[in-house]
Amino acid sequence: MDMQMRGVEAAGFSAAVVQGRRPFSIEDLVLRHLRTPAEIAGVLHLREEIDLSVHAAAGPHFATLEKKETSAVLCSALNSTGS
Amino acid sequence: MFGFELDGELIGTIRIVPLAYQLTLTETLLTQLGSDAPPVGPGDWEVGRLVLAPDCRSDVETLRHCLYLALQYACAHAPVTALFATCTHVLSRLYRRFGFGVFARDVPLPGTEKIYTLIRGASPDIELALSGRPVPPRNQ
Repeated sequence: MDMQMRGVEAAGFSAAVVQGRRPFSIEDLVLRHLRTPAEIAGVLHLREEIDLSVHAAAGPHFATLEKKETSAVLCSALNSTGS
Repeated sequence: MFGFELDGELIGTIRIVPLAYQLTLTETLLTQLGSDAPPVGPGDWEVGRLVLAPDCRSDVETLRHCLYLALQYACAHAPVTALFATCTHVLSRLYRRFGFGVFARDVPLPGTEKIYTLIRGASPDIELALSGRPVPPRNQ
């Protein structure tokens, strides 16, 4: 088990383990499909923990695509066409 | 894009993106594999941009349950044949517990010094592994 790392690995499928929050039941976790600009804004601080700078350096389109993904306009358009 | 909510607070996020539109890091890296790259088709998705709030990264079960919720939602709203992801080799060991398998490692991202391990899993296998139900032994 290799979850005892600190920080968040860039871009990929990564997570980390840090002690802190009071104990909670995982059954209390709820998934939210983030549809509105306000909802998306609510997780941007988490997204910013991911260091995507290496990917920005890898291709000229990366920054544009990443910005569109968290753009209120684009997300609203996508959500209006279904999942 | 999805969020994980606990007591009204968004404590995590994840992204699930369909493959075949050249939107994902997975597809960028697949081009490095040449003829060894697995085929990508409808129902293949990349899961990534997974972040949990630092004080919620208490144990693997939280991560497992978050992935389970996301996969359940995805399967309820779209055909999901397989999930792909990119990660470090160290973390690929963890994700093997969740039904993923490594199909390429040390794959370079062009233009950078970064290398990735590519993992993939069939949706039913991942769902079973994340569910916590006993995984039946594979036939030899």
